[in-house]
Amino acid sequence: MKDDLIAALLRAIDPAIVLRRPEELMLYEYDGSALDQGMPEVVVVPRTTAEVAACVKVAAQLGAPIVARGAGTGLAGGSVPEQGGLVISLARLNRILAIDPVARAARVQSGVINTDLSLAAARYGLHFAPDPSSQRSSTIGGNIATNAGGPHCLKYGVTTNHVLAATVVLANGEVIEVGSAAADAPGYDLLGVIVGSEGTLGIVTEALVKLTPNPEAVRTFLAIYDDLDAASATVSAIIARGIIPAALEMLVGQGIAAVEAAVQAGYPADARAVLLIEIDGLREEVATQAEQIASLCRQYGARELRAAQDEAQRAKLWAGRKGALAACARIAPHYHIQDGVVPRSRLPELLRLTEAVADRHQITIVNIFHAGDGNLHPLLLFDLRQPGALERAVAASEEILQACVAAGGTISGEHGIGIEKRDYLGWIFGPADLAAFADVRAVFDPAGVMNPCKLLPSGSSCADIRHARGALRAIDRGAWI
Amino acid sequence: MNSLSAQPMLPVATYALGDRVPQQFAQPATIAALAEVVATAAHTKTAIVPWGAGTRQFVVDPPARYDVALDLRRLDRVIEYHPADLVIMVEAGMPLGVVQALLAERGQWLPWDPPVPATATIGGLLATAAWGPLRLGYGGPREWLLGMQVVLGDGRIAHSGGRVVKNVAGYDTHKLHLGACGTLGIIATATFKVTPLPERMASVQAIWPTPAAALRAAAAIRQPPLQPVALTIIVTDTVKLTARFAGGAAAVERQLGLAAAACAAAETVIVADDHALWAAQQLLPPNHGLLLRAGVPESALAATVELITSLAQPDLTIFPGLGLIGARWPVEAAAHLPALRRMLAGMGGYAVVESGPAGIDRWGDPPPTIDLMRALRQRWDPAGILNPGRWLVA
Repeated sequence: MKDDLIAALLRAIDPAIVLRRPEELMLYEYDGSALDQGMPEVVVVPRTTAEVAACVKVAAQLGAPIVARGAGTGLAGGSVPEQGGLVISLARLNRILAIDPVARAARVQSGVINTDLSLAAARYGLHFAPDPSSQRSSTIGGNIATNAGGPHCLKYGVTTNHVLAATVVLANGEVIEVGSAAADAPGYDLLGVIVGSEGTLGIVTEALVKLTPNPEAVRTFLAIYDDLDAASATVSAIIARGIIPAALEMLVGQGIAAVEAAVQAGYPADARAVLLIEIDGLREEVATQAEQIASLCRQYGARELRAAQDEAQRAKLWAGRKGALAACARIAPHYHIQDGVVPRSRLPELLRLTEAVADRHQITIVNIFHAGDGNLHPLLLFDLRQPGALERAVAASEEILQACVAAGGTISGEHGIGIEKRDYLGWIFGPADLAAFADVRAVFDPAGVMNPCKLLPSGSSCADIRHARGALRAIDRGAWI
Repeated sequence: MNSLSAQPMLPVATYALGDRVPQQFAQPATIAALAEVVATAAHTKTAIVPWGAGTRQFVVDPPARYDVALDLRRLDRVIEYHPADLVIMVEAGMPLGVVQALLAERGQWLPWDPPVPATATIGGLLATAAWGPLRLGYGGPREWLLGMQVVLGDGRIAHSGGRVVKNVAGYDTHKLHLGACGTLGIIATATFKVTPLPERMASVQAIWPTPAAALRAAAAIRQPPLQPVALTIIVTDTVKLTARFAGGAAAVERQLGLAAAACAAAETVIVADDHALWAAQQLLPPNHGLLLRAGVPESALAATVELITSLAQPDLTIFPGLGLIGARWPVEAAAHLPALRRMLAGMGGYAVVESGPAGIDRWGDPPPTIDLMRALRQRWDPAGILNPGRWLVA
């Protein structure tokens, strides 16, 4: 198969875009979390949509798995070529094709880095709102594939709320356009189901995305707590008061000290919990909300409330938050990151449960997460060299995720299902639901060659594939949550 | 069919569409009963037309076959509402007006204002992708919808999405049912995120001599720091621009001033309590003429207004910032539809007929992805019993 695939690719496309030496392929065997690894048989780095389509056609004809890859910062194994086959890197499709300040939209190729788009839009006073912590590396195409979130999605919505249209290469090599620059064009919302489909329905090569005006005023606060419940009660109180902050993040326990050691932004190492609260909007509203938030933080027992004094300090606080996962490598050499979501009002009990689970399984867990929308990121820290550490981490992780589901929540808020959580999908969806998902997949990709065995449980889209239940990743390189 | 038993309240004629009257109607009171009706119908190839309050049945054609009217208004319960979580889950037969009243008791709302009577149901509004002027500031129902339970055309009950505000598990198949006019399944429940009611809402109205002048003013009113939550230009005998602002009182006040300044050349009034004004400003209701909806990229909006006006004298509702136009043409102007569609397609836009005489081509040429759409429908409604012949994917 491997030799046939490479030979067919070399016949069909420019050999310059084909990578096949083992040392080249090794770069494509993992994603941002990386216990799940898989060596591709061959990698292509196409320069145009037409080249992507040509590669897809060749691989599909041979029945080879086709895995699209942006920057490889995913945390659920979505871009890992677990079944071998062809990896299509979109890295060279990195051009911003047009920015339309009147329509507040940009046409981009899918390999454009998230931050690069916001930098380019800045001259028009605009930005691309989805801001995953990986945004300095991750691509718009990857953001679309995973329906990426980020701290500011609390107010501005996740990726799916910011994509207007996309060019998609289907499994048969056909290139289609879904969505439209014109709102409500007649037809089913195919774009809506492609965003977040993790490369299982097709490969997005270009997208028309919304740009959002930069706010007139921004204020950023750090609320410091000696008590965990007080911090989570403040989160509920802010929302109940009718304030939707731009971002409302929580850092708990040992994670705070680790972040501070990494960035020296003024995170108090001895605090039990801190809230990173950002509000933005018109200056009058920001002023009013700042007073309300200060009063709520005091009322709910914050030890101290600090305001970022300038843009530099604000940037530092955010650098700490967005670099939190890497910072936690100071605590233990290996980690596994979870992404469960609960209704906001259930946060206190989930945080308490996380601590109990950590104690019971003798594992360190820090939580650095999007409190405002109930999206937990328990970060399980351990040392794989200790016997049983991996098993304890798996058990702890599953216990927390099950508690999220029991609380009426879900198993992934923004990282995706990929390999990691495909066998947990049955916790929240029944057989009929999964069958309906499989129907969608079969419509777009009847032969099941696009990122096979991802997103859906084994069995529903993927016959005869063996994989460990709850595949757990642990690495010590940089990643972002 | 169990649920087809004696329901003496409504004669079948209530459910007439065009010149078609169903033989029967069903009013299931549970989702299980709904699924049973659909499963049985699929088995017997009985054509079903789902009904809410019937306020938007006009946006699609009468059915090609019509055996059973499936009235969903007994599915009218709130399944969950947790104000602290800003999430509500309701059955699809619940009227939007009832949902809004319930939310308002807790100082919340769904910023979704389709121009329909308060009796219009959640399911019908979602199925027809109904929207209103607040879409500019808050997005349409797609941005507020978190999940759905749907009875597919073969009677399967399938759900997607969830009850939390962030969720990437599974495919977002609920988005496929939004605007599908019931051709992929029948919406049984819907879950929305909701948001606090703004402290204040108020509007500026200005009368302009021409649509072009009003469009220029609208563009100025969309420039930061102004953030109108709704913006319409209604062109009849006059050209009336209305801009609505919502939020904290002081921020609204400043925006009203800035908007009035942008309209300094026009006759301008500030409407402090604007709820009655917007309630009255309906999208053009259907009459015996043609009601068109044109969508174009925002940059083509002014050219589209000129184009529609040059082909036939219309009444217009223009939505600057959304690239959408509602236009009422005299019925004789239907002859211009192909030309209008051709020119709009050249600008990346389209025109559909939301209301018009029987037999009119409502959708124009199908999109290039029509085969995928048909394949999807074939999967979920293999017997073709859901609203046959009514919509683009017939």
